[in-house]
Amino acid sequence: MDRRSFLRSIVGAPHKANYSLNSSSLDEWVSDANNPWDSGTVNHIYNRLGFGATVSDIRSALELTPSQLIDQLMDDRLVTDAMPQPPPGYEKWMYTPAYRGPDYMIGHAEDVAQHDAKHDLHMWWTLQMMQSDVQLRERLVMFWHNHFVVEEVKIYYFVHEWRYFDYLRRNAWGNFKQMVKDITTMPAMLKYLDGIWNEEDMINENYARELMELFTMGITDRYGNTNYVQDDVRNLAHSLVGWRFWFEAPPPDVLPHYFADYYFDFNTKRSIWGSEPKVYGLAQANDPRIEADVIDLLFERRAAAIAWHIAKKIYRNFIYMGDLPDSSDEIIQELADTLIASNWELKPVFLKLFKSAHFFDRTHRGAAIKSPFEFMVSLARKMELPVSLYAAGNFWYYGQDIGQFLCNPTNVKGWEGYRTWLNTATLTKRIEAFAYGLAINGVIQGQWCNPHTGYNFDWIPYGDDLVLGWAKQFPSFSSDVVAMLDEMNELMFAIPIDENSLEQIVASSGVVHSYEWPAMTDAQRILPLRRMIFGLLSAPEFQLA
Amino acid sequence: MKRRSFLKTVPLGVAATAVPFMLGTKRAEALMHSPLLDSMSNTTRQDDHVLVIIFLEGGNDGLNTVIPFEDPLYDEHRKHLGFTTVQEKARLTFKLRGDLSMNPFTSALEPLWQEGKMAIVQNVGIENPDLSHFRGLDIWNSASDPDLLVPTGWAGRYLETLYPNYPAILPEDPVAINMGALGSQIFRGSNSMMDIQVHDPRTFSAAGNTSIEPVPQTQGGTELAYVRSLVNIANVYSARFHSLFPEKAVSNVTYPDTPFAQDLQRIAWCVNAGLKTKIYFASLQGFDTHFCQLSKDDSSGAGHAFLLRTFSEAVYAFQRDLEALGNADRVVTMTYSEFGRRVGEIGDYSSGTDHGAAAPHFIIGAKVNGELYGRHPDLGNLDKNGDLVNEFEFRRLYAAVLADWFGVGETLRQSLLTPGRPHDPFDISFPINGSAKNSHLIRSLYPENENAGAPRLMLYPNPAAIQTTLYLAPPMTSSVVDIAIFDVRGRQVATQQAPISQGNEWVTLDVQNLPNGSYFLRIRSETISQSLKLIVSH
Repeated sequence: MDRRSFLRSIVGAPHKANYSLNSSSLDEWVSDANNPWDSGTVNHIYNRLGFGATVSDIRSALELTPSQLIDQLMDDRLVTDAMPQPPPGYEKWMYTPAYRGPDYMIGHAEDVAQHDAKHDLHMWWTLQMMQSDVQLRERLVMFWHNHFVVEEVKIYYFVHEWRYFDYLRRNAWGNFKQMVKDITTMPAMLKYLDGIWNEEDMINENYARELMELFTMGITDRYGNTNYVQDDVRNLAHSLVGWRFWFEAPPPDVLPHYFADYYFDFNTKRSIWGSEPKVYGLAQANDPRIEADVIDLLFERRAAAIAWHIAKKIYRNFIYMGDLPDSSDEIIQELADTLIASNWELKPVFLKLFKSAHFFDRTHRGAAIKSPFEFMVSLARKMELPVSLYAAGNFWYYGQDIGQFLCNPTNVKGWEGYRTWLNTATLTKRIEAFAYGLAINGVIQGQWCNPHTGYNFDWIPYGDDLVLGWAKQFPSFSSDVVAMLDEMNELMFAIPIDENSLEQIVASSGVVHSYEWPAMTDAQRILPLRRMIFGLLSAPEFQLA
Repeated sequence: MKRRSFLKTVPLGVAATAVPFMLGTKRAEALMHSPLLDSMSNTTRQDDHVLVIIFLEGGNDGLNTVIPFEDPLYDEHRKHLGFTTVQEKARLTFKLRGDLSMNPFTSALEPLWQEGKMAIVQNVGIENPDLSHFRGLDIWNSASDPDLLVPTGWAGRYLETLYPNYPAILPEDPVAINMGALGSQIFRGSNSMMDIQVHDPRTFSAAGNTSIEPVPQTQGGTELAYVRSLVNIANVYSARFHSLFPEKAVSNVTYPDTPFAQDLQRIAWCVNAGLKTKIYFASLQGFDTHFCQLSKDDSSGAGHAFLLRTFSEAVYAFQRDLEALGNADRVVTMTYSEFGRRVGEIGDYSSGTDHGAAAPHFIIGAKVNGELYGRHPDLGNLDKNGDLVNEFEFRRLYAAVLADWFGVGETLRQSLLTPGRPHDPFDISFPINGSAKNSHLIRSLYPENENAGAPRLMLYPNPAAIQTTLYLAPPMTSSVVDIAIFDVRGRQVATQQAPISQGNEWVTLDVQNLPNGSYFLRIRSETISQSLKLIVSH
């Protein structure tokens, strides 16, 4: 079969599987005859920096250069002026006491209110993930959520949760050090890692430990040296004492946090990470008895370890989660150096990585395993499913079923990801609920209960008109069934399905002889098309990004 | 040049490389020239023993599980969380001995304790623990020294010795079944995960077609091969489950209505259906009780008391179910958790505990020597963080289970449990109740583990239907053993020669072609000349 690109680039040649490996660097990628700027390359960008490309994404991307596309996905307006409208009902949640607390009055009305509001957040966020222009921003919200983890079931109040996600969105490519400062006293985090219970005579180590182990430096540095000892955990916890938040504050103020100095020990100077003993605390307390800011100290004493830890996390998340060759250490170090040189600004690091020859290296294509949300959203985007707000709740429901309970990562370390996403149970459920449900049953069934209607979430229909409408955008639809399937192949997968498997899909679709296809009516084509779509969506290749 | 001063990374192939290192030179050469399968398949006892591992996720508070209620230091450290008042102490009726009681919310387990089916091992932990969840869990799963980063899990390494070609060659039944949605590193072998995830055996389905075309030589190709192999595993075992379920999904007891109990119930179905799966895994989440620990009250449906009740009621129902269906003699259940919790509670009203160290663990089953092992937790001698000091290195539990329940000899056991670095042999007998008297946790079928005077030779199973294993107790020098089987008339009906050595003390005998009846085995080697009686019954 001669593979032609239906999404042919205006500058590039048709893509051919060419897996010659470059020893690629962080230098900016330049296309050439062997590595053209084509649909496969665009797919790679959207697979890693979003939730999968649609046909129109690919077409419009090929009008730009790779660098222009990355700039467009990381346009600062997306995190400032063009922030999305909050979910409908936002004002009610923000300013109605039942949605805001107070904590000591948890009762039935509050439970119902929180439940409703959180579902609206899940549904609304899912719809954000579907939007083409904000792919990278939403992907980074997921990344930071999985880094500065909080779990909805513990923070409980919707308003805290909203404020946390709103912050992650606005700071998706912000300043890392500033994020650590802000999140340290954010109500969602104060509650999640027990900061509100941390007092001088009952030191709670929870946040201090995770701040070092997970959020900044890790247990050891690049060379395996220990970054901190238990005394550092203890002394850091002392310096973070006293942060609380109000449950009630007049609109439009959103439950501010404050420093309760009566819990804090101003009399003891403590050394952390071998520093000069001082009364360390947070500068934002604005209290003259605090001699130095402990987050500044953290970034000063452990800069190299933090930069390495964060650069490595970024690298693994966007490049490869499997066993890394030793050579990747140098690339990670270069990213870490960039982070320090930029004074912890993230954008230069992201731009350097996402535009690099290393990012586009063919060896990385399909080397990521889709998370449940990447799987579901990429399927919805590529198949152009009409997902309404009230139908998006099904993603929350199924996500939980296949191992990703949105807004509730596995634990404070986050979802482990990579191969842990897939096992015999989750793989078969992905195929059952989505590939089979959608292609063969023609619907993703509405699940659970929509708090606004009292009924299940809306069904996601996939009627014959949608199937035909989708298939007809492929140029060979009316003329050549094998060529059409190959065009679909080009859209759907990071690693195209091999030709034998494609022919197998045609054979099992009920089209006995492919030459019969051109003479078939649309009505006759429906069933074979559905079976072919099932074949595509259930292929192992569709699990990869 | 990389320095690796603290955490040393051990490559994935640790089990395979550790074995030859531990064995004599000749053995090592043999291993290097043949697949692990060939060398190991003879060393593994063929039995139908099943291990159920229950993971208490988050770090179980041992001091609120087994309560030293007579210790004044307990009252002092646990002013709010502890059972400190007269009325509260009166609730402690599930006594293990005069001064130790189980938490009242574990009362469902009391009949099992009284029937001698529950072993409690006190003060189990990691040497020099780091208080991180993730390091704690990594170390418990990998069974490594705490300063080594070992990517494989001990159960994965053990199962790999039984099925070294997994998943290229899939045995008829899954090797291990994990009831959780996410995998556990405990099952990671050097090549692949050794378990499969089964949410419900009645609805376990196939995962579609895979291609036999080669994958690209890229990192993406590596991942494609991984997904394909998973599809293949799902397809093979869904066919197997469909042949057994839902017909075999039978329970004779009522389980509590909790997801955890449901997981155990489904394990009981699989055991009863006759799956030859060796290890099952279930987990109960929520033990990371920094806050709102609720150690004495389960009414809110959360907190430690609630978790203890959830755990106890489910395990009790599971044990009774196994007994009702005649499976109790072949199942042992054990718990683990990343650590215990800090002895001192957190402050006045936070009512929680920080990450700690040593804690008690449970081994439950009809074949268990139900006793309290180890001493009263020493609250007067805490480490620098205020945590309990270990009495037992955590790997001794694994060593005991491997030896007594799976019949793994000391050499293999040591190599499985000391990845990357040799270690002195783990003692598999434990002092009862802090006394000088020792016992094994499980009533072993294997003579190595019996007290002195035990027979030096043993045949199991006997009577045998298909095959039986001859066990030659160590110490043995490497040699060849000649085995001859005679019928009652003295006619030789079969012979077999096998090399034996430390850690390789078993010979599997095929008896399926022998008619029913009594036979004699004559066993000869440089050091042995003995006979044993064998009964064949098909």
